[in-house]
Amino acid sequence: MGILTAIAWRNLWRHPTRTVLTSLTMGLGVAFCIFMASWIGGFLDVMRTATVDRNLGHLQIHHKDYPETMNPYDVVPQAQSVIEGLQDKPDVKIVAPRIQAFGMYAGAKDEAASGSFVGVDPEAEKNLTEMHKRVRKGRWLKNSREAVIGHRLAKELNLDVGGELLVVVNALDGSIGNQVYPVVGIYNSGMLERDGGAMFPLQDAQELFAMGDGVHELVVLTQAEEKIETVQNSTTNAYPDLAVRTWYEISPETKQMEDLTAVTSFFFYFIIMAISGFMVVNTLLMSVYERTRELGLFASLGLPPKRVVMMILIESGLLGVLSSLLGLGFGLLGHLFLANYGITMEIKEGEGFILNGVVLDPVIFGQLNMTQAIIPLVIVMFVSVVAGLWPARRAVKLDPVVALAQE
Amino acid sequence: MIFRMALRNLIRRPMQSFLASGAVAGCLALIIWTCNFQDGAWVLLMDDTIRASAGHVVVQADGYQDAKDSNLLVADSSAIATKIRQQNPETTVMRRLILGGMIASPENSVAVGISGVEAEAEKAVSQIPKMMVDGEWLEAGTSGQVLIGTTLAKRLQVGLGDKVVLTVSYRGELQALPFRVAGTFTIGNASMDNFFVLANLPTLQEMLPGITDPATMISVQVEGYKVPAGLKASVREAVGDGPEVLRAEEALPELFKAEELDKIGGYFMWIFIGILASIGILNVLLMSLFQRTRELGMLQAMGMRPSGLVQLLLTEGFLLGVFGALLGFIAGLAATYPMVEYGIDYGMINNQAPVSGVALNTLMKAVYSWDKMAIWTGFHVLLAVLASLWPALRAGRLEAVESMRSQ
Repeated sequence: MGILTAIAWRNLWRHPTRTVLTSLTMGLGVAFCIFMASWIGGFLDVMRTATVDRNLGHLQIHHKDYPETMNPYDVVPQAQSVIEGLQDKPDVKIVAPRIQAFGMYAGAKDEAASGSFVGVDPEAEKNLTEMHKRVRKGRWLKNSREAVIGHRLAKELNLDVGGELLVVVNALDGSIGNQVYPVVGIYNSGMLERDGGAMFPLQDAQELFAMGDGVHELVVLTQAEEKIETVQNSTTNAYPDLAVRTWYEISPETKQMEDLTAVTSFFFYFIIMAISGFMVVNTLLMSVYERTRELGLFASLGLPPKRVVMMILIESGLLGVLSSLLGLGFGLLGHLFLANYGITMEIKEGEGFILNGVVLDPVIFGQLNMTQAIIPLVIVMFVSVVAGLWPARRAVKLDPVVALAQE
Repeated sequence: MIFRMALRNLIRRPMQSFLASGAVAGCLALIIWTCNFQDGAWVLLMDDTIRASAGHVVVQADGYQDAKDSNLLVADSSAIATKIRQQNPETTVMRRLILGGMIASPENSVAVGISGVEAEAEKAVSQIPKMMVDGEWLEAGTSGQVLIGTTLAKRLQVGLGDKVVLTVSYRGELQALPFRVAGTFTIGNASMDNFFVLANLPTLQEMLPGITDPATMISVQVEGYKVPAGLKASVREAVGDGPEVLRAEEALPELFKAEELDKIGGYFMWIFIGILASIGILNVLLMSLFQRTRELGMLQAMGMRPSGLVQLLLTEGFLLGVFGALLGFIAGLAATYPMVEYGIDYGMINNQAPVSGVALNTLMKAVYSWDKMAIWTGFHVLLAVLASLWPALRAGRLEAVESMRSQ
């Protein structure tokens, strides 16, 4: 084996240009796959940020009918004890309550509009989502009896920070709730629905809707992504009457995008497979043709065909190794570039693509997990060795007498 | 003479010639296939989006494009539409009234976007009639009909024939009217199935006091998705001063931006694949040069000039390129054919339009983009010639005596 490897290695470098070009092509194919994986990873991360970090959190808990009906009467029963129970779990980082409803709004100038009404615990929400960072003017909620409003609502009502917002809602006791709040901030969440509405401190919302200490939604952030399903299972067991859903159950689009991406990646892997196989066959076939006489000599000297096959397979394997290394190098360089500088996909100033009513961040930074970098390497190695079989078979089919007679 | 020599050289080494042109063919076929598919997807997406959310040319109240303020309406819309029709008899003209508001059932109330449409005209351009789950598309002349998404129906807990109340705000006043659910649809995009409400234009117009025959937009549409050059000017002439008249590119900048970004991504990938193909050709040609060193030295000794050798190898490269490109072109066409005839139904899961509020056709079909196919085919021939430049120049520098000595 040692000697064969040495011979195979030397054979490769008889034509350095050929070997370099072959492994360069295959390497670039691998690099392309790694770069694509980094790009797609970055895109998925932007999608994830837009859904998880801005709104959904890891898990959401509702009254069991709420997910289907989104009926404001379906509040989480005994919310306070559920919150306390969850906060005791070591895997849970934050639990935050929300009121999700709908209100009619009016500003000072006779303008009226309708939009989403969200009541939050300002401090808990701060730890949970990045909404407070998305306040573009003014500040995030701090005290009671104040409101932050979406930029679309602000525009519709001609309302600015310091202005007064009149809110009219259908309270849960059948009455009409109305209240005037000073506007302390204007946010741009990128969520079309949220941006056409307003957000309020939880207690004010509960008071306005005459719903006591009821809440519609509990949002949970776990310690780590891997803990989501553990927490989901234990919560479902503890509270069988509640709907406990993960963010990817609530917003399957992101998950679907991941699946779609898997198909795309497969397509790219197929391309590098085809290119690599082709290049290896090409290079080794030619090298076998060139060495007809030499291989004939080996055969007549008594080298068993098995060893000849082994030698050529080692050559192709070495080509695979070279390509993998080159590919990994170039691919990581590309990934580092993407991770540090990013690529801007701007549809509108400061806004990226819109996915299911959520505006994505326009700059995409590369994200790569090691499995994605290693899969194309493994594929190239595998294809190289398999592609070496054809030239190897040719080499052993030679009749030594005929081969030696060749010039 | 050189041409015949080049051809003979290639035929003499069928395996190598086949491998080299196979590299070109494979890459070109892949590019043609993806290119036709991408173009097909965009033709469809552009067509659906332009028709459903603006028009090839669209007439709106002055300032609507920037403000998207639903209070900005065009009055006397049917008179204007008639004028446009008279001026441009080949076009289809339809009006839409788009309002923000609230839909309420006894169970729940939800903020929605309401589109008042001309039932017959809209049926011809919208995808939603094909996405009806229950009931029928709007009937012209029947008042009080409303179509809602299935998700919204669940939230409101209403079904076919049930009563809902639409409330719209116009110039600071809230107007409410009862409607009956005439049908439900599933677009497959959660935010649209939750938000989009359709009603007959005349009924919705009645809800707005103090303006006669209002519309948000008057959409002027033609065959295909390209906007005819003189259409905007001619519509402007019919409309006169006052409202804004925009071409699709001006009305839907996000759509065109998204198309551009997607296509840049495509070019990036295709050029990369092209580079891989040309390294493949370079490899084959360089090898065939090494193998023929002796033979080329002989040609030189017989009086062939170095420039002749250069020409010979360039011609070989050119022929390989032409052959490969032809093969790739045919293979690409063959691969496109089923995509044009049958297409792929990518299902409703990913009905994600770059412009929100548009239901897209989910059956994607490829188109034959002849101009692009021609350009890529030419590009591959050029790549082959470029790839043969290095071996050719090398051949031109051969020393006759030296090369005759080599084996």
